[in-house]
Amino acid sequence: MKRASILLLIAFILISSTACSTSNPVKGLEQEEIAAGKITLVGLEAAEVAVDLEELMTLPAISKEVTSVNSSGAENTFIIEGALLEELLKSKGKSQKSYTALRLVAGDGYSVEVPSEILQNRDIILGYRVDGEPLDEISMPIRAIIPEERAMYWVRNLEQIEFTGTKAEAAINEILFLEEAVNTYDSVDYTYYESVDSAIAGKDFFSAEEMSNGIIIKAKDGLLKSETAEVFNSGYIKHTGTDAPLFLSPDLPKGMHVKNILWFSAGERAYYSVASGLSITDRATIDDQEGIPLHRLFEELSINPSDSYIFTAADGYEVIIETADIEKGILFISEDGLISVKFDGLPKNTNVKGLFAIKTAQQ
Amino acid sequence: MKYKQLFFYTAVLLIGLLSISILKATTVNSISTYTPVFKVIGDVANPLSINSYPEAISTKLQHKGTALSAIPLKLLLEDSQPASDFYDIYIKGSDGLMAMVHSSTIEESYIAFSEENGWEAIQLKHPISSNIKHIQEIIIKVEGESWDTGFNIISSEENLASYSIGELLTNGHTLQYYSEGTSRVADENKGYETTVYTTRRVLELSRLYQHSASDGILVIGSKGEETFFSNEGYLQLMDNSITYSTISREKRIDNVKGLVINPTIGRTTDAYYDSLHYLEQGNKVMLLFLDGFGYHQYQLAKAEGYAPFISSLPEASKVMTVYQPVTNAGFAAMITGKTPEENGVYSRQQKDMLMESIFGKATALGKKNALVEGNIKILNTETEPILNLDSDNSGTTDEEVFSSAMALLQVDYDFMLVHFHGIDDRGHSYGDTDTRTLNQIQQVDEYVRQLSRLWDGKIIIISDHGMHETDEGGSHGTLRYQDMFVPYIVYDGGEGQ
Repeated sequence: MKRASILLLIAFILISSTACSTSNPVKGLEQEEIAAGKITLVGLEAAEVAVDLEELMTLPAISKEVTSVNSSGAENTFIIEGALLEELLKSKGKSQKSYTALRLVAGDGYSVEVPSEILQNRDIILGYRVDGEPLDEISMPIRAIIPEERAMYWVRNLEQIEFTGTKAEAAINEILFLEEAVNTYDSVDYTYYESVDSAIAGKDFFSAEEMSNGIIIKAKDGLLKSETAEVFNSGYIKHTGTDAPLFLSPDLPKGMHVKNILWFSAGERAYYSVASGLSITDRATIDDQEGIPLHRLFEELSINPSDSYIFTAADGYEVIIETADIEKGILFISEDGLISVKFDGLPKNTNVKGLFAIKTAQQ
Repeated sequence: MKYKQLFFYTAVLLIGLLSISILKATTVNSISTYTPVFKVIGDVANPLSINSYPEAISTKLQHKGTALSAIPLKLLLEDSQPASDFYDIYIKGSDGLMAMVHSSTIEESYIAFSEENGWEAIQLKHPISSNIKHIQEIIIKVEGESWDTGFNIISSEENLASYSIGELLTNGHTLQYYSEGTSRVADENKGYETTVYTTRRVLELSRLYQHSASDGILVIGSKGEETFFSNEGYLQLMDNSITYSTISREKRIDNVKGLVINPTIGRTTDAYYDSLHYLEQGNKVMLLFLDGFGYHQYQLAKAEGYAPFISSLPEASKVMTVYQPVTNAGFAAMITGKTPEENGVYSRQQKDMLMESIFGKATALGKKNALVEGNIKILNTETEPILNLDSDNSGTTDEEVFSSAMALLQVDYDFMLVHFHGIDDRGHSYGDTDTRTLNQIQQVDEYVRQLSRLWDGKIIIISDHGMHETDEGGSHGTLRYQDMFVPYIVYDGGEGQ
């Protein structure tokens, strides 16, 4: 009886040892292990930022079937579950698209630089489960997966993400008001259906340098469109008649035209249509005058923060307005058709008629 | 006694653990032998990657006095589903040596595997030079023209060139090396970097057609994707398809169907924008949709007097429809203003559009609208179509559609779309330029004349696709200029017409 018990015990040890050696060593991840697994974000903020698995698991989970291709061309398909790096960065007020590159660093010293082309166009998954199971020992705590990229970017045992540079994003430093600005350019006749309207060539609005990253056009209905300099230069901004302001070209299909433009920008400069803005923006009132709150205009165009802003009229008159006073201002079209601005509680000499531009004071 | 027992149990435990170790080691060794992979690619629906004998089709044969297990080549290739029964088979070895045999001569051709020769062709009837060793890939190249299934290059005037994938794989590409990225391993003293490259089969435009630097080249995907060939773009030859990519990874189109050189600026999508513009300006609009009416048919009908009324209208613009040039996709493009990539309708299989059509827009503008259709509902439009059966058994529903539209003219509609199917029906039956098809164009021309006189508003004549000639009659749905370019006319209706 005693011998039988001992044999049973041996059998149990053997079975246990077999089971242990063939099953996933991290199956049934313990809470402490979850808490212990963390990655470090370097270069995101002044100090390093530690992110643990628990935090990652609070982000929206993504599950995706992915196929890795290794250096010999062999394929391996599995389902990865994790959080998007973009979601993690969003929770910290950042975006992967803002960086020129980042480096994924593994615990064993392996690292790979992820270039801008990938950051702009691909999802980066910070995976914590494969095929429904926790990661194996060599992949823990996180396995970075970039679907559609080769396995060299799929870093196991991810310990650190180094953000190596931010893209020089051109923030708006100057707003020109289209209704006034059109008077400074040469217009041509443009036949639009049965009417002949006035239009300005696209190439007149920006320099080649300003357009190096393309042009963004936003319509009143919220449509946001990017165009290359080549396409924009081939077209016109029609500023009178039906659907104006309208980006169009006889060389472009009608599907590429943009009707009722709210603004268009390139580099640090934006052109804004006050007439379009007035038709879609909630208005504020100062002394019975309704207009677009200036702070809404600034938000819409994401104008660069500045201590003060310079308001310039078409006749050269200038006033400088402190940032704190911007929220007291409204933008409107006066009875005589001039773009105007006035401020609640500021001296009358801050009112500008025939407003041509607003610039940040620190240029 | 106690020590003896302890020794016994310890021995049992050690023997048990040792057995498990041996068992594991044996298992690992049994699968550790490396077998190379070879591919079957080219003009096939199902590219294959072979690294073992498919048991079901392997057979025993004697070769040079040795008994071998081998795969009959014919059965293997059938599994890859060649695009035709007649094709050339290019067997390529790892040393670059390639042998070509024809599909009609492979009744005693086999593929075998040995440690010495890897995957090896054993062709008992062919000269010994056909027995390629260390096979890397087998490329299938079908015989004859490839306009129906291949990679086509067209302009708005002519079909410039067509290539099958097999043709391009055997002769027509260059190998180029693309950096995939650089990885690094660092220890305390030093970093070790590796840059990885992939070898890609790239198609050079200059080898595909005589091109000019100023050409605008539109890349067309099988699901109607479109993009202009950019400076950083390239066409990569895959196992049985072509992919367009940009170095920046911003754009990628899999399964490219071909290129359109200098496409027309006008598109069938213009019908949406023009209709919407006129409706917003308070005009009434009638869209006359002449199914299967290609631009070349318009020119022929005009030249030969089969379209007297349409000939009296302003000259038609030549506009390009969308791929696939079939009714669902062409119709969806004209009523949404968007290409299939955006509206979701790229073949005959889709009926639902991913966005509001001109019918929804017209309704939102408070415009009374109608869709006069043939005997079937093509798309799930916001406005239910008025269906018309071929009650006089004439072979088309055109007369019924016309009568239905004429009756609706008595009601005050702001927007009507009238869909005539007859030109398409006759084109399929007899061919795009057959007299019977031209007679149908003449009949529709008369319907258009009568409707135009009674419509006090704007009229747009448009088609969803054209038609090309086949041995059986006519067809469409391919990247041919006859299928892709259609006439587009905007004019005023009313008594003056």
